[in-house]
Amino acid sequence: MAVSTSTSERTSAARATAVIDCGVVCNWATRADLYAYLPSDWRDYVPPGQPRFAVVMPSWNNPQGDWRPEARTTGNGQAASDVAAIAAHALEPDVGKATLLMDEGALLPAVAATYIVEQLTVAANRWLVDRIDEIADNRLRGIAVLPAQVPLHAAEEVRRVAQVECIAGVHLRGNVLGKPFGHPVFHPIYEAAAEAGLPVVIESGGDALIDVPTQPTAGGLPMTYGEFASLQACSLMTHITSIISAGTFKTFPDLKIVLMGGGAAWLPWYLWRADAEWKGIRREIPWVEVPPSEYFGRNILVGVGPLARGDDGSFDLSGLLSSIDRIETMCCYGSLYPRWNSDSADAVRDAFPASWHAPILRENAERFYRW
Amino acid sequence: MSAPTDVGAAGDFAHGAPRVVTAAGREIAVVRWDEELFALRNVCPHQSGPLCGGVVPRLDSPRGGDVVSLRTSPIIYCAWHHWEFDLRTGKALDDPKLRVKTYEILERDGRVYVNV
Repeated sequence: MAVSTSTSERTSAARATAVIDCGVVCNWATRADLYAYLPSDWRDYVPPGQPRFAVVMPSWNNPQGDWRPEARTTGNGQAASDVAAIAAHALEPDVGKATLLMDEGALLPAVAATYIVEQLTVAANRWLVDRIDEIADNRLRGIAVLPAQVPLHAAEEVRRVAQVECIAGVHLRGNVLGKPFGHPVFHPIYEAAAEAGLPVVIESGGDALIDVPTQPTAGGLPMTYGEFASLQACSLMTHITSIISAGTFKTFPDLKIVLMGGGAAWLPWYLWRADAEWKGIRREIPWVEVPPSEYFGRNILVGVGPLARGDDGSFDLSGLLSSIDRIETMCCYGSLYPRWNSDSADAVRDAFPASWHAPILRENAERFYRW
Repeated sequence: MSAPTDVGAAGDFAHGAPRVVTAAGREIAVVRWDEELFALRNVCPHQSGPLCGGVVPRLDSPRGGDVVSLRTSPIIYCAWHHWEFDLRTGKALDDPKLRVKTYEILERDGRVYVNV
């Protein structure tokens, strides 16, 4: 006998298997969009005709453009600024939840003009919340940016956005202080984020900007965009090694960190190396009581995109990652749509064995983000 | 069981300074820590390096950046890759399943004896 299934049961079943996309990307159209969100005194301080405060251009440009064709610059707006269209594309029927990251917004903390950019960062978060409210799809959440130039103020912003229901995490990218993110100067941010249950999303690219004293790579600045793109994981390795070594997870055991933008292919070598060195020089960091790999999956997730695999099958990504025990608990999916190198959920399914699909495409993000 | 081996005068073993002796054909690291004596096989289970790189107190840490020295809990570390072992138990600090052989040691009439 056929068993009928109610609509609500079908909906529940669909949600139970739905994808969580931790990385949809957007921009405001022009910086003038933020003025409406600035306190009036600050609007007078920097009139719209003076854009210098937020020049955050990297030295290199992707020769074919940084964005999917449908999201490229049109009219007066910058790329990825049609937020409603981006959300409509990202929120496919099989997507249960998605987070909206701000592209230029996350680079604001890389600008040395601290006081006005602090105000703009708060304005950017208000702008984001309004866009999410306009889209009115309860699957969509936002990742707030932080005025990380002054970590104590960034912690205040964490506590403010923690009161906003649609905010699922906070974004740490631009690195104007020029210190790896484990430095204790950043601890107020981690304390506030852990208290609020908001993960800190660290995205690559924030060490590659004009005002930033660090570099995205070791050994000198790349000369081409291709070099920069190939080495995106370098700064993530620096930041997460710093965070682990500083005992950040000892001090804030509930802190969650998500690493985005560098793929996951670096993990096998990195985890082996980090654990091996920890055995020998653990005395230097007695607050790190477990091998670094144990924090992955527990306190750290790594976005698998951009996927690193040869379309001709020459590079067996899942074979490489399989060399690490419980790797499927350490990774999540962020499409990075509409960036040029974004990945679909199907591409992730193709790249990994079926037993990894649920944890990577849904379960790990479910337990890390505040939904 | 053979008789304990005389490995030297008690005054030859200074606090915290491991000294390698030979007993029953084996290299033994002998360590004095305050009033206690310890004896361990001088072979690291990692890559068979000399175990007696040094002896230091174990450290604890209430939070990142803070250190508490546990003076009564000494550890010995290998000279090659600095893997650490509890001096009393011979167990590796990062993996208690990994263990260095420890031996009975005693001080009598100004001499030190190891029972191998």
